[in-house]
Amino acid sequence: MLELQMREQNSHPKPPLLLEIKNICKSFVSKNSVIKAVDRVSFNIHKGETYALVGESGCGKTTTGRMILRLLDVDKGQILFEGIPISGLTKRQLRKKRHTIQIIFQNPYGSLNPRMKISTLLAEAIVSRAEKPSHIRAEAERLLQSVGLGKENLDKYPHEFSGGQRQRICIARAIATHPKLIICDEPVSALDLLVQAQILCLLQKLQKEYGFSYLFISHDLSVVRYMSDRIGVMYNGRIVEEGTRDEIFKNPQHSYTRLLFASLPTLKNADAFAAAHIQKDTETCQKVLRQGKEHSNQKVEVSPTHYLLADQ
Amino acid sequence: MHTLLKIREKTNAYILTGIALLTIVFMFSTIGPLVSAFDPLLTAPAMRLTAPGSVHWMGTDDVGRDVFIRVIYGIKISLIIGVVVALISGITGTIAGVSAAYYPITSKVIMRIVDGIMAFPTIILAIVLAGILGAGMRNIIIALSISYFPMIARVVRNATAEVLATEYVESAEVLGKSNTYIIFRYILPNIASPLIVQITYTFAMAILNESILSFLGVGIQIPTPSLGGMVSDGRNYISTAPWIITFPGLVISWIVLSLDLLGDGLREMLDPRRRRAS
Ligand SMILES: Nc1ncnc2c1ncn2[C@@H]1O[C@H](COP(=O)(O)OP(=O)(O)OP(=O)(O)O)[C@@H](O)[C@H]1O
Ligand SMILES: [Mg+2]
Repeated sequence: MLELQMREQNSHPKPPLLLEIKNICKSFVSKNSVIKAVDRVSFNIHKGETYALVGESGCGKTTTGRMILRLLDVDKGQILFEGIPISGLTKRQLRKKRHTIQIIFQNPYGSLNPRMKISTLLAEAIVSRAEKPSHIRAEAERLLQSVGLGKENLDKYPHEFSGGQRQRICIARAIATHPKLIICDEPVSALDLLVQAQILCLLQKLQKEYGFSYLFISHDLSVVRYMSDRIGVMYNGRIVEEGTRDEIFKNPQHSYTRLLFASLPTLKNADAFAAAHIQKDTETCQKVLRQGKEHSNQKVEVSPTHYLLADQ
Repeated sequence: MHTLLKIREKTNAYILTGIALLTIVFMFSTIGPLVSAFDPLLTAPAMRLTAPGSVHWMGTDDVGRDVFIRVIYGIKISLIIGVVVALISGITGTIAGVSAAYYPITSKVIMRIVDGIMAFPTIILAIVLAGILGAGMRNIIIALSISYFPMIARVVRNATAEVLATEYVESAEVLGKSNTYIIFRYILPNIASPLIVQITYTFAMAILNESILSFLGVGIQIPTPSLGGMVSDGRNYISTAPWIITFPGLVISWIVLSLDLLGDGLREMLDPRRRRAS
């Protein structure tokens, strides 16, 4: 009854917000030059949703992820996690909160301490939870099984596993803390195609089971199409276009997004995309280009969920 | 695959030889006092410069002291100095190196000091320090530890910086682990290989340099037996009584060689690139 009322009050079909990113910037200073790695990036992630960041190498995807994890501090802007600004947390508060956001790295060979057994690697993640379970080893066995590995692997070291198996261990470790958000930074790009598909399936299965959100970072559009609910297209540190998966795939507006599709021969239907969108500019895009000349950095709405940056 | 196996066998051979040679020296210095009736400090002018024979197995020196028993005690002192210097500079160097890698400001201060110390050749620094502090075992240990800690600090700093940049350390940070936890469970186990190798070399170098300091008269005080001091004493009699200089000289080479072999073998075996390949 209560639930029904709440549903009625909450006219939004969308689940509540988990992560709000507002205009974050990050520059790196290297020898007499400043690289703007992330520039005025804003986006939201809702509970249970998968938000994908796509873009070419060096466009600032990893840097964005690292700022959300507070492995890097933002220069400007704000990151709110469940309404709390994470840059306002003290070191101690941050450490207590850290288990709520986890990461799966690209390189499964570098993301597990080579001197620890799998049981220890999982145990140290399990004890980071808000409430520790009483039987840590049993919990570790359960986690391993849920990522498709047998419990006989607990006493092995990381070097005894293949890349795909290691990535499964990394996933088990990430979910061990019961996080609300998992940042997947190109989690399958180091793996061969068959293993990629298995890992992606596993990620989806676990999301259904646990209900966490993903920030899915990738430059592989076929992977993104399989995984994402919404997509932000990044170019040169900025999000140049954002929309739901279907909006971005069926109706890409920004010229960079189209370029991205065109440069992907591996994508099934790539030809269709190219034929439909690359040659002839759609009406909106022309409008955008016209507007772009007048107001640069202007957001142009295509639909309530779909916008692009008129900045060219 | 075959070459890999061969390297592995060779590596083990280095380590085994090093350990075997060291064990022999150690046994020699432990059993020696039990089988020899002589006192390392007792002079016997009547017996001076006696050649090795059935009574004095390694002969006597210019004041008639038994060379065998003095070598035995010299080995003990050398090994003690080597172990203590390796431990002190190993521990201080590790603390300095890890904190330098962790905290940028500390890093600037520590690395300035380290660079400053390393600007001098180690032996000259040790001589100057021993000169300032005065002779004696404790001061030699201090002088040698100060001379060797920078090298270890630098090795540890670089290795720690490398480990800190890895994703597995970030994964621990993301779990909310404390710096202490990360240092003890992540950094130290992963820098152990270069650290152990460097400590082994420090052990060898400390023994060699103790000999040099004693040889130069700023080391172990007369009449306490030390290998370097004996070599120093013996050089005036090199043509008439070569045994005075030969036996302690041989023992120094023996110890340094065995530690070097051990260090090389450990480096080969613990090299993370080779471990990963396996
Ligand atoms: N620690 C750093 N110091 C200096 N420059 C950096 C640093 N980290 C990232 N950069 C620079 O910032 C830019 C964005 O890097 P980032 O790693 O976020 O890109 P990315 O989108 O993840 O690329 P990829 O797909 O290759 O992983 C790059 O130009 C990179 O060279
Ligand atoms: Mg990246």
